[in-house]
Amino acid sequence: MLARCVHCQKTFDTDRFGVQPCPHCGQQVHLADPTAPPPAPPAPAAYPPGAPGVPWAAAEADAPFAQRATLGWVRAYLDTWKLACLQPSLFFRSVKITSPGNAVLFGVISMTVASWFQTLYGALMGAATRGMFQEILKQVPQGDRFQDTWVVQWMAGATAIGTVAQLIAAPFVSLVWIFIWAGIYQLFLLVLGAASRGFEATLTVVGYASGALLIGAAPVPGLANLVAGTWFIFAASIGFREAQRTTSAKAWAATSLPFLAVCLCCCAAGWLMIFGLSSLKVHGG
Amino acid sequence: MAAGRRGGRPGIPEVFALIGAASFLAARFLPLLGIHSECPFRLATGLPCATCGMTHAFVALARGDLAGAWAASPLGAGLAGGAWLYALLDLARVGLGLPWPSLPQRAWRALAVATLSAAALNWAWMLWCARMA
Repeated sequence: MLARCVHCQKTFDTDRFGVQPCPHCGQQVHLADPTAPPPAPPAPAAYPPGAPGVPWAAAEADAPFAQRATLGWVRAYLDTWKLACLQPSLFFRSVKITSPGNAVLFGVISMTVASWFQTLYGALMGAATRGMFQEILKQVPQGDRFQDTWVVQWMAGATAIGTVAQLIAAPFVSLVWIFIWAGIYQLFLLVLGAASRGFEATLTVVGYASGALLIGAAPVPGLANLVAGTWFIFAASIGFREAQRTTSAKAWAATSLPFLAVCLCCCAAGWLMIFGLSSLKVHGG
Repeated sequence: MAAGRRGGRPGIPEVFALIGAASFLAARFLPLLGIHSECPFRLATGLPCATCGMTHAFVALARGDLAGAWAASPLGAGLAGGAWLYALLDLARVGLGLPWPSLPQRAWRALAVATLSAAALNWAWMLWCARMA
């Protein structure tokens, strides 16, 4: 029979179908058998794309941080940070969830570095901060109860022992923080029916999303932590959606509900601070 | 949840067991109640927040004061007891070389619903107690 090469467009004689080299150009040519049965149509999907339990990504890959032995620690960390914080949708959709230890280590490093910088700032601004806190506490109802307590000293970083204790405790606190919050998020994900890939996926997301907390190392006390926390919530919400193969609504609900409880306390603290500051202004005027 | 040990390294269950054990040591031996931290929500509203009394409950239970722990926060008492019991059981499981028990997803979900319901009930109880006081 006569066949035509799709590469060089020249014809040649052959006596079989299938893949074979073109005698003119040498390229592989596939000659389909016209008597062969047509290929079966793809089976209908049991779940719509994006439904829980359906693998969205064609292939999962290790995060760059998991390849730190070959990439080097700094490059592996920076590459992972950029992916987790700047491209969370793409990253969490395809990251492997079977080795959450890498994610936890990544989160612990991020939070520890941020904590160390905050401790450093606290030690540098200790005296000023302590004076400010004490002045505010004088104006806050029952604020006198806090005067000269560990709280004021700790917040102001006034004692050397306290500073060293914070530096040493930072990695352990970070580790506990990641596991506890992963557990809390998992509770809400389970209740919402959005934990199809288990706790390992949740822990992986919390670990890598904790990279955003590194922003807390910026020398802007208060604001840096606010930005870091907000960024973490965004990254974690997108991460839960992608890693747990769930919907945006469920992922955002699971991330937001625990923070609402925390926000009650934070709002109350903010209200007290504003109340205290306005009292300062009134008294000062 | 991931199975226990892989290649001799502690897994997720062991880390939670360590956290549970550490919480007992902290509650028993660190002067946590000496920090005098007041809940901002309670200061602003006069009412306890959802997690108020947890530290007192952990410390009281670590000292064997079950009534004091319950009075401080029923959920805190339950959480402390559960965490420490879990730490002991997981230690025994690892010591005996047993695998982590595999629960179906529905059982995990039921546990999660029960936990969050308990937290809500605990807060309602705390608010009621504060109002009665």
